[in-house]
This record gives sequence, structure tokens and C-alpha cells, in this order.
Amino acid sequence: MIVLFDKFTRVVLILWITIISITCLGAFFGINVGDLGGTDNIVEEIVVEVSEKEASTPVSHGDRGENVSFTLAGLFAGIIFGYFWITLFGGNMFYIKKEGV
Amino acid sequence: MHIADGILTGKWIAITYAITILFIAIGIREIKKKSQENPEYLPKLALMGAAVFVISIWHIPVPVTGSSSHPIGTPLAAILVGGFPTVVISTIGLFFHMFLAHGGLTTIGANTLNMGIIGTFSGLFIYLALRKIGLSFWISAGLAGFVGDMFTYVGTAFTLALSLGTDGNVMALWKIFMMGFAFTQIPLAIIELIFTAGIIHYIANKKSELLNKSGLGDRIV
Repeated sequence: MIVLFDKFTRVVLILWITIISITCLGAFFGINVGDLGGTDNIVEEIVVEVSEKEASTPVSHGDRGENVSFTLAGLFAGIIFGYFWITLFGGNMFYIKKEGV
Repeated sequence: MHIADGILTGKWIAITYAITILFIAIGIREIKKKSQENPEYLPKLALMGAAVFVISIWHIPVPVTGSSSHPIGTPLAAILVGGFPTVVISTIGLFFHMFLAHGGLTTIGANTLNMGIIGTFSGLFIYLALRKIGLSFWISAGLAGFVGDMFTYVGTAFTLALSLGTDGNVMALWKIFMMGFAFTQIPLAIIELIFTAGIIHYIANKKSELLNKSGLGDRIV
């Protein structure tokens, strides 16, 4: 008999689902409450107040450009991560074959 | 914690670059040595590089504070691949973050100092200290993630205060910048605690030899 997911993997999956749920909940509130800007932006506004220095970045995206670039970055990083994960852990790490069954 | 271009003064750009270059040089030497000793090291380093890149730009909204921020991932990487090599992968990650409109070219030194050096080594120190007194993998790793995350932002606020402050008001500025980060960052540091603890506990159970070959960790793990 093949058992899908050992006890610890189940715990980790529950934790990951919890984290993703928190993220989704945050996004839900973000849509309803308004734009939840990054702390970097908040601190950059403080910098302008205390020093009149203006933050700049070599590359800037519009809202849609940012979404596209983040998606692409996540996609490529995920491919690299997955490739090396399988190299290190093997492809069947979620399956434990019960002895003698 | 991504400091953008145009904020730091020339003096602090130079100082932060100098410190970072020193750590990168040691990191490259360590990577070379470890990859010759262990063929699994380079895949592990590449895996952690991709993880740090994504984790450190993974913006999570915190509705209570009305803003969003991201974890850092470097304490996790430090436990698995060692402290100095983590500085190298952090720098590479921060370079690519620039193309996602985060950080800047003149501030890679400062951002690496805060996330790649302060975040990494504060977390690693906590992990090693807690393992030495006999705490479990997941508690040690989780607290390393929490401390590394918070110290990154303490360091960022301090870097900004040092660069923009004049005589006598550095600590006052540090408090102002820290207030900008702290309330949003505490819940994210807790998330960092959870996933660092979970991943290290998983690896300790599934493939503990990955922890046994992690440089500084060798001494006590």
C-alpha cells in the first residue's frame, strides 16, 4: 500500500496552506481597504521629509509591468528551485512505501 | 528593506560596498572550497539562491498596519549553505531585484549589508547558540528566522539614519525609520519563523546530511 504524505509532510503542508491563506486574506483586505503600499515606500516618504532626498530606481515599471515581471521572476526562480530540489531530494519524496504491505 | 538609489550619501555608499566586497570575497573562497569537497554543495547553493531571490521579494500585505513587506530567507540559507556563501547569493538576488524596481545600483552594498550580512549572521548565531544548548532543529531554526528578519530591518533603519543623520540625531532618526518598518515586519518575522522552522525540520528528518555539511553548522549539528 502506498501512503501519500507522511505525518511531517502533512504538518508542513498545513503550515504552507496557513501562510498562503494569510496572504490571500491580506490580499482580500488589500482590495477592500485600498492599496497596501510597501514599507519601503513609507520609509522613502519619511526620507523626503527629513532630508529632502528623492528615491529613484534604475528600472521602473507601471502597475501591470510590475505584475508581469514578478510573475516571470517567480516562474524562473521556481523552475530553478524545483530542478535542484529534485537533484537533491529525488522525485518521489512525498511517497513512503509501507514495509510488508 | 530595499534602499533605493538617491538616498544614501557617497560616503555610506562607499563604506557599505567595502564591507560587502570583503564578505563576498570570503564567500566565494568558501563556495569554491566546499564545492570541491562535496558535489551536492553547488545544487544546494543554487536552490537556496532561487529561494532567497523569491522569498526576499515576496510582498505580503498586513491589513492591520495598512502596508506590506517581505521576509528575507537568508537565515534559512545560512543554516543550509553557510554564512559567507549566503552573502554571495544575497548579492546576486539583490542585483536582480533591481530589475523588478526594488533597490538600486548604488545601494546593493547597503542592501547586502543589511539582508545578506546582518540578517544572515544574526540568524546563524541564534541557530548555532540554540543548537549548542540542546534545543531542537525547528525551534532553533525558527527563532533564527525571526531574529534574522527583525535585525535586517534594524540594520536598514540604522544605515539610513547614519547616512542621513547629522551630529546628535542619528538615534532619533533610527527610531523614526524603525517605526516605519516595525509594525508591519513583526507579523512577517513570525511567518519567517514558521517557514524556516518547517523547512529545517523537514530536511533534518528527510535528508539530515544536508545539514551536516553546512559549514559553520558542522561543529554542532
